[in-house]
Amino acid sequence: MPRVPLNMPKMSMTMEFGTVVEWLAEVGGTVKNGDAIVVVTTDKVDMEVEATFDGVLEEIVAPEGAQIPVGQPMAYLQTEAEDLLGDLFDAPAAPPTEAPAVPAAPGPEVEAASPAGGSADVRAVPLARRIAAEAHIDLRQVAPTGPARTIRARDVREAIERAQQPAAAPSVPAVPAPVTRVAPVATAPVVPAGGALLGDDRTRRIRVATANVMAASAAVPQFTVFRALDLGRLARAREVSLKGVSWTSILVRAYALVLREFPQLNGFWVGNGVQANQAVGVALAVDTPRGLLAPVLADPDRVTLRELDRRIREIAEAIKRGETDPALFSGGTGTVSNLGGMGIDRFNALLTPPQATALSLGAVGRRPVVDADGELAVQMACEAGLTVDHRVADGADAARALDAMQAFLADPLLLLA
Amino acid sequence: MTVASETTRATAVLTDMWRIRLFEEAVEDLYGRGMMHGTMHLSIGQEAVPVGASLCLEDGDVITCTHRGHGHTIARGADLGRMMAELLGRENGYCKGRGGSMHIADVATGNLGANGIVAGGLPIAAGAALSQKMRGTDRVTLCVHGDGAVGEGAWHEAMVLASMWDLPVVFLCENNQYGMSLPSLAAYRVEKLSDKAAGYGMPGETVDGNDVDAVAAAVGRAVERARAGQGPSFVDAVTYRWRGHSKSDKNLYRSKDEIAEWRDKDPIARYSGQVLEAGVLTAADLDAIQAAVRQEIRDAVVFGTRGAEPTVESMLAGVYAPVDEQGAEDRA
Amino acid sequence: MSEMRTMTYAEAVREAMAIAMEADERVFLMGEDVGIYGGAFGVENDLYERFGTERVRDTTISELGIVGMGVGAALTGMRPIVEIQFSDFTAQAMDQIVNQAAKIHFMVGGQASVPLVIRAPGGSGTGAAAQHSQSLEAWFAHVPGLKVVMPSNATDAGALLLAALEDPNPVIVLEHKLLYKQSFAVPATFPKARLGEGRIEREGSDLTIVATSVEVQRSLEAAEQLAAQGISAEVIDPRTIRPLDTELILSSVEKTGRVLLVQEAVKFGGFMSEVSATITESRAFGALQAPVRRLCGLDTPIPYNPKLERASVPQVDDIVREAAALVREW
Repeated sequence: MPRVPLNMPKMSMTMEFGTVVEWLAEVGGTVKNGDAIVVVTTDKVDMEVEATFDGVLEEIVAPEGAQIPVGQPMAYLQTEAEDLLGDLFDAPAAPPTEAPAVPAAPGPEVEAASPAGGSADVRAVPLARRIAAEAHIDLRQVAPTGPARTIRARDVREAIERAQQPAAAPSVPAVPAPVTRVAPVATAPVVPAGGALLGDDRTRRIRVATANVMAASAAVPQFTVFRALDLGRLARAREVSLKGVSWTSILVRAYALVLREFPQLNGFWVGNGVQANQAVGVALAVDTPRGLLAPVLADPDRVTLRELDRRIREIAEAIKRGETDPALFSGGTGTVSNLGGMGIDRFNALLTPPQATALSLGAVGRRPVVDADGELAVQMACEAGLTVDHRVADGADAARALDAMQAFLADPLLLLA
Repeated sequence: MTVASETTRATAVLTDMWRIRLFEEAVEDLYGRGMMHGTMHLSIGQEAVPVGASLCLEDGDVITCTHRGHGHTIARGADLGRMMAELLGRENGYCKGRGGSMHIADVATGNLGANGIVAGGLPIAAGAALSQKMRGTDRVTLCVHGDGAVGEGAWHEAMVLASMWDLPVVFLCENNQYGMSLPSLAAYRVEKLSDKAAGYGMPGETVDGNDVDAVAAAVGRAVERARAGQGPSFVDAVTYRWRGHSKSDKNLYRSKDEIAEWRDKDPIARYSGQVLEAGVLTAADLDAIQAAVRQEIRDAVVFGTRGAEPTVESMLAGVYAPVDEQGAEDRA
Repeated sequence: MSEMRTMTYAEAVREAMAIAMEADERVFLMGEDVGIYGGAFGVENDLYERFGTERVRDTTISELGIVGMGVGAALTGMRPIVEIQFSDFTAQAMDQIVNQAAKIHFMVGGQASVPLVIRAPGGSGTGAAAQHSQSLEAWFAHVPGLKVVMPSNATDAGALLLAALEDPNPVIVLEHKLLYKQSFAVPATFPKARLGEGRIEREGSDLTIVATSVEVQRSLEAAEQLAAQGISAEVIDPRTIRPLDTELILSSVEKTGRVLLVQEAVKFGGFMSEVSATITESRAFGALQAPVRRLCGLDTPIPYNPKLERASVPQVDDIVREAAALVREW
């Protein structure tokens, strides 16, 4: 007699598996068309599965509790009744014919609009953006008169008119600053006109550049966490193996290691998230007669400490001589400022946008400290301040970063690796 | 009726009844294998109603039926392969895979379709009958609905409008005694559903829905009235469905004894017994019919599974009927 | 230009039905009180005398039943017009409109179509209150398979009805009860209209006003007043809600850069929200000088009190005020 499978039936629109709850027939027992053979549960609902022909229950392959996919056998029955469709699906099915492709009815072609011109941080109506883009007008230079300080089309048109009149061009900052929304000043303090500007051209340019960067920085929500970094072990190492290596180099390297370990802090805020940077670039603030410059050291954790030290000296010398290759100043993902040599204990460096952190270093020196036993001791330390862009990271992140920095500084091997 | 025509009739009746029975069983099988999507409303046990009714209809007559409409669709002469293809959602199905079981239709044979809304087909059938009358044809509309539909406002409105305008429509209630789980007679407060017909000014009859000849006789009387311009009638054919309402039905609302009792009244077994006893067909004839239909069903399944999957583009193009601009110009 | 005559919106609807029934014996009308009564708003008048009770059929109060009969008749070779006395009562017939008429062509894979026209008056201003004053075009616009038109004047009332009767798809024609008695200049013969084609009713350059139904009339009045203030308003009547004449609207927006969308229906979830989204998603976005503004009915059922009723939907002065503000602020 033919052996026919009793498959797990599909009993609801979404069912994919069923679990056998109870066999109502025994192996060897007779079943008739319409008899319930087994109780199955699916989606918490028990359902009886009926035989659709007369036969004998020959073998149970799914014991109570077994979970069987829809269409797979739970048992086999011997029956003389012909299985209506069973063997139809034993042979591989002929592949379905390809449907003739019906060309889609052409819908109205409406292209997606691309907002023209300007950065996303400036509010402007679409037409204003388009006009500005076509006339190469920087929207940041346009005074908005629309609701919610939105630049209207007429505002751009007026800006175009004004630009066509002869006037002093605004100086371009050496360090490109990203656009930030500058908080509107309610009443700007009025500076009486007439006084002479200080410094020569170059100095003034650097001053303006710094001013622009710092004005942009003022719009970034930032905070500083301070920690006295214990440099004891490194102090001893500097007397032995690290002779001649500057504290700056050591601290720059430690900072770089931290930025490498915390990719979030090495990234930039781009409005809807933190964009990662593959490279670490530590900008080192250098005081020059003409002002503050910040050349960038590329991946300072990937060269030996001695090599790093040598490089830093080289760069500092070149800058003091007045050599300033613009390429030297790009690629920064963090800045180190060291005022320790000038007697400063601690300070909070301001961020250089778009960098998310800045490390300020005070003087490295001996200070009194209470040790674990409650005794007064002397510690070689440096007060470090880590300024962080609060859009990128929080206080705890900053704390963890300084913790890591301390860990690097506590283990010269880590630092030298 | 001559012996030869009796044989022909019996063969045709049994062929159709087996077609319905085996088609439904094949659908059940395919669904159980996970090859069919959605849910299925099977009419196993109700075969005598569509077959008996169809004996009274002619070319050009129109039917509307319910979500449990495979039987009526088959009895009106639909192609089994295209039906299977539709239930398998393929492009070569009657509805290009867009309608499925609940909306299957074969307009060429006058089948305006199964309807997924209970009583949805009632006003539509009345409208089709109005159309037949206005166009001066002597065609009729068979409105197949269930006992559940009697609860809907649309049933009432269609009955009112059909009788007001003496429309050539036969309201055939395929009464399997349960809406989904609610026993109908207890709900409707009448002894038999045909008692309601008088309330709409039309004749009503209750018959044994598992007796092909009884169904044919009652529907035949109603169709004659309609064709003669005497208006609508109501036929209540009492039958029983063996399976649950749909594939999610646990049958909690009826007893196993009740189901077993009605299985013993199997309309196919009954009709087969009758024609055997009357000597109209032999046992060999009966086997041959069943075997032939079996093969038809298997062929239909193969046809259906070979159908192509419809595309999104063809679907979107099928939402609106195209406007014949030139034709409109011509008529203007 | 053919000679013009004056006729009311209601007369135009009646004449269009007569023209259609004369030309095509498949066209007939079913509705409540459309026979000897002459129609609740006098639209039918003596139509039943001209065409008899076979073609102009009074029905019982059975909206679901008669719309369904319309579906059945349309499926089997007829071209029925079903009148629903107030568009609010389409609620009774929603199964036959949404689940049957709209979907049958699709569900049967193209084996048949449903050339059914459903006509119903909507809108407020007659004191009929909440259940007899709604503007429900958004319900139908949301259903694939339906077409929806809203004629704003007598010429369109006739022309769009004739176009609807030529369409093999189910078309909902939403007339406005305030417009029925208004007189308009109408050409000697109704122009051939196409569903899905809007019209620029008035040209302008400072802003585009898109309006439907009675609000088109109000917007044209507002445009006159705005002109006196030195504001040039372009007024567009889409005429068909679905399918929408997107191109006409976008071209205008690109020209003026400002849009005011005016409808009587409630703002939330309304048709003009669809128009607004269509504009801002399109190539016209870059031309916008101002946010796309909607001026719509208040978020309330229409009240009985006449002042409240008036205040609940945009009036001429509302349109003037909003349009002027839009141009001044932006």
